[in-house]
Amino acid sequence: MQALESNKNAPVRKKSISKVVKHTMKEFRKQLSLQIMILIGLAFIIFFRFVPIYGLQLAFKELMPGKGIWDSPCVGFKHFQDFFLSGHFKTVMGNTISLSLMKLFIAFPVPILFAILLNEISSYRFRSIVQGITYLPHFISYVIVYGVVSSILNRDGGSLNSLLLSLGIIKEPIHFLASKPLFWPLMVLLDIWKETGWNSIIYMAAIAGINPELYEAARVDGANKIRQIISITLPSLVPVMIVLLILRVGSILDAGFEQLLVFRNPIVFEKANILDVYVMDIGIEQGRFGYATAVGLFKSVISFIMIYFSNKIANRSEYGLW
Amino acid sequence: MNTDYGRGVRGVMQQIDKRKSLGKSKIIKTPGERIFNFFNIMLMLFVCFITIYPFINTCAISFNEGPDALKGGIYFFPRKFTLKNYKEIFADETIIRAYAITISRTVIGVIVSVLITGMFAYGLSKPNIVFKKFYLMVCVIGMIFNAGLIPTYMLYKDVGLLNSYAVYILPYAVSIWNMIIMKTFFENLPAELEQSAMVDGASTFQVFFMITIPISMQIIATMCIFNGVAQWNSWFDAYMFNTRRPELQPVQTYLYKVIALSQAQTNSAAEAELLERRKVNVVTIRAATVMVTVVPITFIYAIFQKHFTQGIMIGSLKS
Repeated sequence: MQALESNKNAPVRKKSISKVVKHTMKEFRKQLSLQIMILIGLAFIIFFRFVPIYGLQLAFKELMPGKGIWDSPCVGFKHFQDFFLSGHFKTVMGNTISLSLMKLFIAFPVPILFAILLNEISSYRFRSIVQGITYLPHFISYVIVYGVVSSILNRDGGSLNSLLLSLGIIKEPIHFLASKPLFWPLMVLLDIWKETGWNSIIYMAAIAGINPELYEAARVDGANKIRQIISITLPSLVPVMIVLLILRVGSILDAGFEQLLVFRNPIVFEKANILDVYVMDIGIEQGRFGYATAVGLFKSVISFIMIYFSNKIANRSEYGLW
Repeated sequence: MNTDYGRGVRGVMQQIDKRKSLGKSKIIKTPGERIFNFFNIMLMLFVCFITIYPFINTCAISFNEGPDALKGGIYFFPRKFTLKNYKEIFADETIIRAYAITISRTVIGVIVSVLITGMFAYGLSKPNIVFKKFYLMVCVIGMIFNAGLIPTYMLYKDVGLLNSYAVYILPYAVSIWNMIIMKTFFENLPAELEQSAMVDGASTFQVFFMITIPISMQIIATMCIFNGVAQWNSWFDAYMFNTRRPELQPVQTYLYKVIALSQAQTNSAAEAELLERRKVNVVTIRAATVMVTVVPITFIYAIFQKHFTQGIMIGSLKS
């Protein structure tokens, strides 16, 4: 009975598959112009995002001068072993994760607070001026940030040092930009300075979505501003906060490559040595391509897994990436 | 180099402007609220001040005499006014060439990127596209997996993108994140216009260029800003991939080198000489270079600010 039935079904299915293929081809040809538009874009993605994956085999090889990637001898997991056993692993991972966590926990609440307070400004005009000004640093590169910030933090003639000296708070000028203990706090502060305005956009939008009747009711009940913020605004922001937090945790291995590249100098070198910086130094400057690729691959894989799952979790709510 | 602003902005952007019509000020304020408002306004002014002050200070220093600036105490205005710093950096041909590179890569980069990403997004915005699921999957994986710096470097080396102008344009031609924003925007456009054009016998490309783009100017402008800013700001690509052709360096990379020069010990004799010549003026010259780099972008930002904030809101609206 069963045999008979499968017999009966098989040709039908076969037919339907060829039919589907035919139908697909027909559809494809009908939308050929659209498909061309897509395929041009897709070609770029494949070339710049997927073709480099070919080079990842370097992580298991020792690149020989004169030989290509393919012909270079295989060394197995030697590079990974070297990395995990070297003293660099601990410092580099430690730096990356601690700096990232510092940025996460200190910088994360700032845009929320900023959005709440900015939202309390009743003049629309003033509010948009503040927004316009605070978004600006998001649009300049860290190179420029270094340029403008260094004129304040310089040891010789920086205006912060001048101010502190003239107020008598310090006796000697502080070299803010070349001080090991100050380096990480400075990086976190700069992150806050640069991105607070921009990151507050999403919270502003979430606050704007709160039903104003809630505030009216709270006012009637005699709740003051602080009370309203704690009892209405903050709880309404929790879903957005959670999702953004999850997404941020997903990219924990990105501690700010360009920022550290610009701000590092021989004195703070050790503190600025995060994964990305390490890969660049080892790979491009020292030419140890195989080893650097292995370190990079280690980062890519962990990042991929973390971003994937953080988005999976975030997707349970409506704010996920896909 | 992922721009992760507003990942997942989608659902919440709708009512951003509603509040302005709510007329909070009609309500009589309690004394507590007045105090709160006062401190709040003060705080906001302070935040604005903190944001702008570095630029003002840098501007003041850039107009000051070099040795004098090292003594400190310059806050808002130059103490010994001079145009020498600007004269010196513009006397150096490098920065003018760098400027030309920056402007040209911004213009070309924006056009190429908006065009290719736009077409890509337009294609994917249509509902019954064959293989759509597959295309989107490729995009998502492409967005979250990054092969890393070294394999990218090797690829560029193999295909001749190292030490070339193309490395400023081609890798940025498609931005997946921007594609998603544009796609969402296109999906929300009314279909009738396009359909009637189709009935009149227009081809897909004609519809895209003559109808879709003109009615999507808001999102196109937003994308131009994003891409333009990214192009204007990028320095790492030139620093990393165009080491052998310094004539291709954009102004930001030039600025980075000025900074690195003032920071670290130098390697070559030429650099040492340059450093020596500029030592007394290094702070003011750097400030002037920063001003020359930052002023155009600030102007563009100020002009387009209104448009793109609206644009990003609309672009991220969930359908």
